[in-house]
Amino acid sequence: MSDGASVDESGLGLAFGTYEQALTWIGRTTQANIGEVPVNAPMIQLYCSAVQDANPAYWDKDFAAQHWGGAIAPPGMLQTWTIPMQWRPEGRRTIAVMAALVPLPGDKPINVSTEFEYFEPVREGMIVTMTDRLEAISPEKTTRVGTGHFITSVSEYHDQHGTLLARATNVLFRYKATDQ
Amino acid sequence: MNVHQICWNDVVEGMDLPVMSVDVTYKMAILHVAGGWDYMPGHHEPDYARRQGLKTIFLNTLFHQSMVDRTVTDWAGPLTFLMRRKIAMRGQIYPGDTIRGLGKVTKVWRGPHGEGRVDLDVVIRNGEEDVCVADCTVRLPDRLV
Repeated sequence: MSDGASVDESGLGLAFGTYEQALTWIGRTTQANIGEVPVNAPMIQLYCSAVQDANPAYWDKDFAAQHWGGAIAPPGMLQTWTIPMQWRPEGRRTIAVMAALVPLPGDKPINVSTEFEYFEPVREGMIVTMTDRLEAISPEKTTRVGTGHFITSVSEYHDQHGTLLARATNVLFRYKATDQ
Repeated sequence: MNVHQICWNDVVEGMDLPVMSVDVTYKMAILHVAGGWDYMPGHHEPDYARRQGLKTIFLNTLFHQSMVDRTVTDWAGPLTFLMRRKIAMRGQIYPGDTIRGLGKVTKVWRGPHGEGRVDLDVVIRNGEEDVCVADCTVRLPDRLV
């Protein structure tokens, strides 16, 4: 760790370093994050119960078969399918996202904006894979929560056959909290 | 099954969508973390959230996305395909808050293959604060008659 004051409590596997080091990372892409479980109806319905989404495309198997060619998942939970389980007998993986891997001083992450383009419905049985490319890092800025850098990355989501499902451009603020 | 669905031909620029409203509880926040698998500690650990400079645990990106999507599809119906959605998170949603989703149609147009598309602006309002500002494009079916 190049910055002795920074400790990762986020569980995201944050790497620490300087802004100058971070700039050399622009253009790098993560390894593929391969979904640990296929897209499945019980998880879709658990998610929909949390956000109270009554859309029959997510709840009614016959409706989904008739109108969508099978069960589909809500676009709002796409990221879920590539997040690792939090405990496994052999030890857990950490999701590889550029906002965490890039060396920077900030030890607190907060997401700022996310733009998704969706090309295909996400269907039951798909195994979703995500790769993330580092696009840009802002100079140091101070906001209401603290001082740090805005990190822009582009994630692509594919199914197990290589079909592009969606692309997301994400901006995350990695900072040190003001009162620390 | 008789399904409510808005067709492209019936959408007019400037239309306001019905307001969506959700009472956000601790139970909902925990259920959403369990259902969405985003275990970033600010979403389930109050002490960590406070060290982040925030009041307590706060609802995550997926939740904001889903509130925008619900504002659109509660109105448009289950044959709606979301093509694009951009959200900018300007404030927080905490357990105990009541949020409202407000939407407006900004453009009604045809895609390159003639498919019906609609652009919308959506705001998630928490009390008086616009905590999430979004714009999106959906594909809607054409009315057959």
